[in-house]
Amino acid sequence: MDKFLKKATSNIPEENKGKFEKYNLAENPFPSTPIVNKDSTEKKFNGSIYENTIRDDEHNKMVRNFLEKPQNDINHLRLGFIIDSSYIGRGNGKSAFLVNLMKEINENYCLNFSNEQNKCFATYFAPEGGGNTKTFEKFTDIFFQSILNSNIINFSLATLRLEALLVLKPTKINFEIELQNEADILNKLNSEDFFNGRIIKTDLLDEMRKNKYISKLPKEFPLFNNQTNFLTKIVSQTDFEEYYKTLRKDKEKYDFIFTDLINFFLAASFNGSYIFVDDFERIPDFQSAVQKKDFAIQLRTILYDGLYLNSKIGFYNFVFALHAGVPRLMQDAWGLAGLEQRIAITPSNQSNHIITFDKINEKHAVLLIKKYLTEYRILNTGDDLFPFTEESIKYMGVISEMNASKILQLANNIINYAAEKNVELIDTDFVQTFTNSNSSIEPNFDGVGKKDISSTNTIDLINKADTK
Amino acid sequence: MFQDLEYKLTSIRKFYFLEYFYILLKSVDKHSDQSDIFNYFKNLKDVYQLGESKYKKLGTVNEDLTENQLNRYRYTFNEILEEAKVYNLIISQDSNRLVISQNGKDLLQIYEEQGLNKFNENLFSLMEKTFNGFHYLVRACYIANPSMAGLLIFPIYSPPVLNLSKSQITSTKDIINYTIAVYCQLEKDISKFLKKNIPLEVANDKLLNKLKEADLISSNNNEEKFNQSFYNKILKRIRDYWLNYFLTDIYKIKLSISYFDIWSIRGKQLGIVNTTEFYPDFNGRIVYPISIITKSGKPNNVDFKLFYEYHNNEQLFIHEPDWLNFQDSFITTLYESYHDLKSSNRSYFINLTDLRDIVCYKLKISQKTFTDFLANAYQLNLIDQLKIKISLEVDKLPEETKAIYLKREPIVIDGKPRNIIAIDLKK
Repeated sequence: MDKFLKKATSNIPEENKGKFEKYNLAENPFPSTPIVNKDSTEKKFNGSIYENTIRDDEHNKMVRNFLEKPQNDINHLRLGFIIDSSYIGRGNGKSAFLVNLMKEINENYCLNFSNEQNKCFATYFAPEGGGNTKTFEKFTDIFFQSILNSNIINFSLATLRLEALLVLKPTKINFEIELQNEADILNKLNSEDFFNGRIIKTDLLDEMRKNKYISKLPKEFPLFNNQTNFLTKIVSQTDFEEYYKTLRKDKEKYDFIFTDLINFFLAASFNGSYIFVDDFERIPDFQSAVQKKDFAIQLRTILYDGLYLNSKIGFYNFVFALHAGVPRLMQDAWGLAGLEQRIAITPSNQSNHIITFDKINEKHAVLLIKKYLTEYRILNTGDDLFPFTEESIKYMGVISEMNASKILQLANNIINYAAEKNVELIDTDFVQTFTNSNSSIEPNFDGVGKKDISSTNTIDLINKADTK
Repeated sequence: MFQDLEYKLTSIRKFYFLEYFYILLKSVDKHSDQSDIFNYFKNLKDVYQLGESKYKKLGTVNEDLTENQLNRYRYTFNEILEEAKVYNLIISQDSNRLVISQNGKDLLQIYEEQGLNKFNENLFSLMEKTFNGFHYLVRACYIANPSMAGLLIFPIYSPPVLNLSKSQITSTKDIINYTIAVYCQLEKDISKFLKKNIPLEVANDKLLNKLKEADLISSNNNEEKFNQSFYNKILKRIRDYWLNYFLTDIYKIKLSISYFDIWSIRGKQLGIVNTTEFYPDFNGRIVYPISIITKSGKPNNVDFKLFYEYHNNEQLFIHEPDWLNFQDSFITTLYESYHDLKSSNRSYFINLTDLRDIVCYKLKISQKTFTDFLANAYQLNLIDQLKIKISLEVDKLPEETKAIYLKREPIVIDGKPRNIIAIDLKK
């Protein structure tokens, strides 16, 4: 038994935790890789630590031009762009902005923004890198995946069932007790077990069919899955997912997404949606000219002049986030597809559908750092910036070219370094020492004005020959 | 400046590739009858894919040559043969019989035992001893443009580059307007690249007179339509005129463009000068030295290698750094240049040969050095020794046309042809 019970005599010292305790921080508050990953559970990576005042201008414009505009206005914008105003692009907070805007919309499905005129959900996705998303069909696939991820189909199913139940008023269901809150409604009304023995499910479905939009759905629509003459099963989002997988032709997919699914959402009393497409440049980056044109033509068809329901009512409102260089990439295709007249991609004209994304300024940098620090404070002492100073943060902003993600990454490295060196205060001098010791090989991305050979630095061999 | 040395710049024969000497020597070593030699040479030319792009052929082409091709081959063969005789590599026994000399045998052995580079170096000594052409070329570059370390530019502005289409150029007046647009552009280039002010109006008038004298454009009525079948001929005249103007009037190089080409393309194979027609964001050709000529002996800097000693005590040093000394600057420059290109393309993958041209220019290294160093850096990247991640792929960029692809050959790294590259900082 000794083998089990004897203890080692040399105890491993408890881990030196609280490396950041001296700064009144639970851990290093800054992300080491400041790329927004919406699915990460760690708040410093998933974009949820978000200082919304920094993007007030952009946010207001979004609300004014998109969210407030009634969906039944036939001229509401169906496509918009968020474009960087400078080439600094990557890491400027576009992803965080979009992810948070999506959350904000889904909080009340846009009812609050539009004076209850719009009930819209929002989804967010980014095309895969490496040229995997070259065709519009592939784009539709990942768009549908984002709808699944947003759980909006389950929400709509629950809505439809709840409405039907309120008409049928089955005695075996106590609404007040059993369907109290949002989570209850969403879970129970999508569960087979909840309905078993309490209501004839065929009746429920028949009641749902009375909705004018549901009546327009084709019989193979997944809502009617598993239905025989006498038995009906409760379908869930998974049935939609499985159904989509059986669609082979692109036309079938488009009919499903851009007509049938819209009828389904309309039945569930949504009248629109916002689809945020981040890193849009990953699509044109890998497209040939023909592929670009085809893509633009498909886009025009589903947005404006196809036979799809979406082309008629503009249910899905797309917002593409673009780097400053993308308009140039897409310009020709846009023109050829006739989209340039409808919804110009060239940012020269300041139209409502283009929201320019500016670099952040020094004040924003301070706000940003403060926000992250606050999230990880152990005690509230009132000293918001400690161990940084306002000056040191501004300086960090300058050397990071006011790029939000670079500032955060720099802050991560500096505070780590300071903790290791037992430094009390991270002032401008310390930032300078740190950056000098770590001179980055990251080149300056700003000087993007075309560098031609006349301004390229080159070794002068005659001079070089004289130097060691 | 050019004292003592006697230049025989036009005694060189008209072909570009130094490897031709090898296949000629090999042919003469095998056969002695001139027609047998030619047949053997012809086959070797195919085997070594000289004068043709190695990547152009989609499969083996073993069809019979046309009479025209055969004549071209024969012409090249004779040119090489004549030059080989000058170097005493081959001796004519009688009108139809050739034998390889001891020098020729030695050189052949060097190729087979030590490889192409050593072979080229030895050939270079023979060429330079006889003509002093590379001395002239390097000197001339540095004198012509001291402000930019010997960079010579040869801009070419075709109508499409100036946003003119063929359909817009129909009358003599259009041609005149086009030439005006060209010379204005050239004046800008001269001031930008050569830091000089040279008005070109008079030279342009001369050009127009030449076109009129040749009856290519009308001499009186400006609005008159010119014969469209002359279109390409006229453009070629205009292009050649300015190339020649840059060479002789501006750079004061007393050579025709065709001889200049031969010297610079041979120089490129030897790592003495670089030349490219595809430098990003520049229309035309550039030539610049990657070697120096000095009287003051071995440079302080270790990156230079002695290549040749002239009888007037001058020495030619080529810039050929060692990997270990140079890896830092190489990788930094590679990364920076990648970003320069990426920022104007906005795609992760960029054309590798564009990147090579920029890095070679910035660092003044030969294409061969670039390839070797990139292979080294790629290896370091594979074993995780670099702060950057390098991806090299064979694909070409979607926007690049086949024609350009064929003209610019891929770079072979790790035994595989590579056309595009992406570099990322490791996080």
